[in-house]
Amino acid sequence: MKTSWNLDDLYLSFSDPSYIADLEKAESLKHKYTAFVSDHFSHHNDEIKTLEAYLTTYSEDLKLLRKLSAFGHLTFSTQSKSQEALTLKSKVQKVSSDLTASSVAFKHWLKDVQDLNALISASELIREHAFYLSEIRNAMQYMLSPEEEILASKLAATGSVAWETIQSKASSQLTGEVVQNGEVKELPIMAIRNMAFNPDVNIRKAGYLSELKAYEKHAEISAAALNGIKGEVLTLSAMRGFESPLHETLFNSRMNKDTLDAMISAMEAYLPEFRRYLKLKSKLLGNTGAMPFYDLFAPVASHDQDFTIEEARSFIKTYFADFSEELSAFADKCFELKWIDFEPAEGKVGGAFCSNIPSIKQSRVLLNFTGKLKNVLTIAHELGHAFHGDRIMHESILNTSYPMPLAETASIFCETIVRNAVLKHADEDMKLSILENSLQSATQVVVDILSRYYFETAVFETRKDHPLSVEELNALMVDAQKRAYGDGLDEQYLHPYMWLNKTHYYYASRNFYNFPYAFGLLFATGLYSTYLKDKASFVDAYDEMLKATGKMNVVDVCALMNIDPTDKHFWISSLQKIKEDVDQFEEVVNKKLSLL
Amino acid sequence: MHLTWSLKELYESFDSESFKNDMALLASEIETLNAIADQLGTVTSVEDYFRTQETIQKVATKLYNFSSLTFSTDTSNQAALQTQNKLQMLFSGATPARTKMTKFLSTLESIESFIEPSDFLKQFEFVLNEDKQFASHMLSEKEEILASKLSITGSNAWNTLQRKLTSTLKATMIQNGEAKELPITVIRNLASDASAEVRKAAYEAELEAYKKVDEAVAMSLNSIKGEVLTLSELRGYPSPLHMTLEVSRMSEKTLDAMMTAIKKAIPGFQNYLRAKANLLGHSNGLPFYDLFAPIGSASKQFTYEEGCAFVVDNFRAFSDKLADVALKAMNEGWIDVEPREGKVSGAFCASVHPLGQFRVLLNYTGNLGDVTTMAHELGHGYHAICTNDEHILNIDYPMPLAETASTFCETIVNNAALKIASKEESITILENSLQDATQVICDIYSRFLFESRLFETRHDHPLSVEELKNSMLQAQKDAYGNGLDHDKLHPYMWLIKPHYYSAGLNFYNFPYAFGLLFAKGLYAKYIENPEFFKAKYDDLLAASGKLSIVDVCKIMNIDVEATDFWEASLAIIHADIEKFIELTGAKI
Repeated sequence: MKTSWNLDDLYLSFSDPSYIADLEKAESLKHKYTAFVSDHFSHHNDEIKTLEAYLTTYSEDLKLLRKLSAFGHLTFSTQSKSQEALTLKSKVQKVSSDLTASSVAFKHWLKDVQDLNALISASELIREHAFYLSEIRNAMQYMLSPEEEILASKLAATGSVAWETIQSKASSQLTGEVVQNGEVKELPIMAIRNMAFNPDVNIRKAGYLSELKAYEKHAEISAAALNGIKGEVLTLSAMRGFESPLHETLFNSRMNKDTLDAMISAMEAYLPEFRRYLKLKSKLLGNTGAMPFYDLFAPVASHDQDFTIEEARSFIKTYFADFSEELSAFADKCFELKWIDFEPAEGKVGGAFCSNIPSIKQSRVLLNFTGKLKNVLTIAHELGHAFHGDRIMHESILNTSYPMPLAETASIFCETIVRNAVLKHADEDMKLSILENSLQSATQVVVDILSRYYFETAVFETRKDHPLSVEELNALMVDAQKRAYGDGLDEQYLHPYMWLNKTHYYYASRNFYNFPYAFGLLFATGLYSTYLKDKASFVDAYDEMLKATGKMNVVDVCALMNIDPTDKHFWISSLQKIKEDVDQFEEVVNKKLSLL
Repeated sequence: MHLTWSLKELYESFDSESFKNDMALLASEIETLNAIADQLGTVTSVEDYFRTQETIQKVATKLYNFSSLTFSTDTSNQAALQTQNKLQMLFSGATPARTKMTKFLSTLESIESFIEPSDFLKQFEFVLNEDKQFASHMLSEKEEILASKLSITGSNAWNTLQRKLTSTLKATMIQNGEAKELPITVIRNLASDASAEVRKAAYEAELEAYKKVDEAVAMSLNSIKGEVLTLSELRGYPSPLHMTLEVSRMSEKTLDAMMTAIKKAIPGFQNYLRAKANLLGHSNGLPFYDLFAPIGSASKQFTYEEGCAFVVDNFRAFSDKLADVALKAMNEGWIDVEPREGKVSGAFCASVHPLGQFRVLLNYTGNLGDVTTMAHELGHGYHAICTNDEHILNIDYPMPLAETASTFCETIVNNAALKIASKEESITILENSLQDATQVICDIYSRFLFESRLFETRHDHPLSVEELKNSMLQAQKDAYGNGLDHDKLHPYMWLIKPHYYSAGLNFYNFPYAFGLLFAKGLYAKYIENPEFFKAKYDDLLAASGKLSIVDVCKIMNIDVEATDFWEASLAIIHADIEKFIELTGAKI
């Protein structure tokens, strides 16, 4: 079986005539839209015609751009040295930024439309894009004047964007010292952080200590970057008229505060369950008290099963079929049509992702498959994204972008299908391994995410008054960890520098890049229990919901599944599922400990 | 005699009632200012504006100095850092008032006739006219507000990072096979150590240490200069240099005249450098690490007491007033003397007009260079004292005039010392002043070239560490020519010089050359006619904040737009170079 993906449906190569023609066409878009703006957006004579023309032509051109950028991005992700891919990426970026002016002109034109509802009822095409258009109009209230927007974006280039760059540069070049075989060795920070997964506690602890020591060296730079970025966010968010950066984040996530509050308070109510898991794991690892931070990612079982790609394929096909034949067939098609790039290779990026390409209504999935059960779960996860893509890509391209909280719904849902199926048939060792893996990641997504949410809230509060020192940041982080992990973690061994190594804090355009993860897990888990209650009616409703994720706000999307995310009970029912996993985990652990 | 300065005349502490009250007062006065600016129209309204501005300036000067002076001797002081940031935010809150005032002034046909009825406003005619003219470079009120707010998290924050990283940096120096970790300020001071071996080891340790922070500092420089370019373009200046000249109240003609004279004078400095290289046993030009090497057996050390006495005695030869100002500063704890960890490097003087005082920071280690630096900073202090009778809104003098009084005092001390010196001592003193002059002419010229090119390249893209280093080497080659050994230059000078890191002050280099050459020219006037000079000198310093440079210089009958004036000053330095070569018998 060929293990790399096939991109022929995009372009055959960088010398493919259709590629060359498309690129040429893309590079001429700037002129096209400059003309369009002066022809159509200087007046409001025939608004229906103007709007229809814009939606049609913009959709088509967006598809073209997405096709080109997908080819660049996908090629680059398996051949990071490809100069052609890099050049293509920067060319597409240039075209996109050249189109900013016309998109701003469109937004201002749209704002001045007297009666959008009249246009919506008069034209089917406009009706199809009602949400898209209203959202733009709604966002206009937070937009500054064009001159201010230009100034802000220019100054961001030497402000937040530059801070982000120095943070990623400085943190990726960081090294730490560890003692190996009596010799002091200098290792890249990633190698040191990976020691957290080592079965040997001495190595995990040494890695942890060396990591903390290494961070001291560039803490001043990271603190300056964080203060610079969050300070800029506060300035702009206030000038735009948002109540707070959190308000801005929620607005951009199409989510309301009630939803967030309901979810957070449910998470807080279930913290004791996660602490119970941590204490059990700590006991299993032979600790006498609460767990030290360096044991959070320790493996607890050596057991693992090896899969070939073909085995993984039939495994997923079988378990997906439990849910629906359609999902199962879709997954099989992804294997069959070579939409997946499986194995690690030199010059290929790490991790895994799924890229949906509306231009050809197909997806591509990148993996670093090494034959472990964990990898099979990752395939299920990524194919969940692809399935989401398959549903949504039949919509207009302007209706396909879904907000962060809904981004992980389909993926985690599919992962849960497979995980639960495996669990049902697993022996004790396998069970322990699966449960521990999923509780480990649930603890990250619920407890650690909560600590990050606390931390970021406190940072914004303090930053309003003054830039924070390294000591203040460390103290706030320790405080956030104590609040979230409670007696689950050993207070002597927390991680004061977590603010320094998580890139999520350093994006000026994305704040509170934490709660969407919790939303994703808990929403998918809740969906799964809904599914278990009424399998027959779920499958179709689920399809409809996925299709709607790009053209409704979060509450309305959930309503399609009769879920009210502003109701704490919904979140509690999801967390109850995780609690049941902890119960099972406890049973297995106790059995195992009694055998010793 | 105090070795550390006293700041309690400003405030007891950041927690004191008076500090807190002043912070609150500043905030409320800025609100008042904004309210007044909404109603501008009558003469009375403008008077109100200036009276409020006066209160703001007084309080702000005290608050700002307290925090920045505290920070400069204790760079990890959190309260100082936080206060500086709060003050920036408060000042930025006055942006609406400032833009409204400028806009209002631009609608007036004539400032002169508008202020005619008000004796109070007449004293501000110059600054009012200047502000009126600035209107053409002003953005809309909203953009001005945005720009000033974003510069707090942009250029200002980058500046703080550069200061922090360079002041807390440590270098590992290897001597006699032993590695010693030392603060970078201590290492840099070893450049004037008597031992050639120490100087070289310190230079190597210094360059090695910069590698630890070069990426972050380069990013700092790129961001600050990038922000300057963005704003100078939006404001419609042809270039940051034009913007700098306008803010400096200096004509392009003046800069051109001075630069033309400097370029012509460079070969003379190369003779001095090659002579010094010859004395130190180098055949291929002077290595960078020997630029500050002491020459002559009379490498006399001065205890701080001796240094003070030397300065005061020689000041007294000029005037009692000057000597008494210096004495007062020494006796009343206005000077922070010695280097220590967490203290910034270099030396500076801060004027505290509301108290009628100033403070001087030194990193005094006892060589003659440190003594002349003390004279230099006390010259700044004298300048500040001369403005004591001026209104606080009329004392903001431009950068080129900032180095006048300081360099003048340095010259007094040097020349007085030369008069009574033995041949050996003369060599040392001459060498010391030539060392400084070489910095102010050759090194400043290299910085001017570097910064001009930096802006050009930055216009296209942010510069990598490699590009910055190469550009610095090129600038040094261009400015020092064959005076320096091209294999032993200093590629990191951009990293350590704080002058590149202020978004408000660009090309913070040519003003030094202006200062030195202007002061030399002044000194020549003094020798020519001491009584006329002494009568006019204090007036010139007092007027430095309320006239254009050309007009300030006219007080002494000097035309700074003519090349002759600059050539005459440079000829004085060339004469020193010839004398030095003659005394030492060095080969060039």
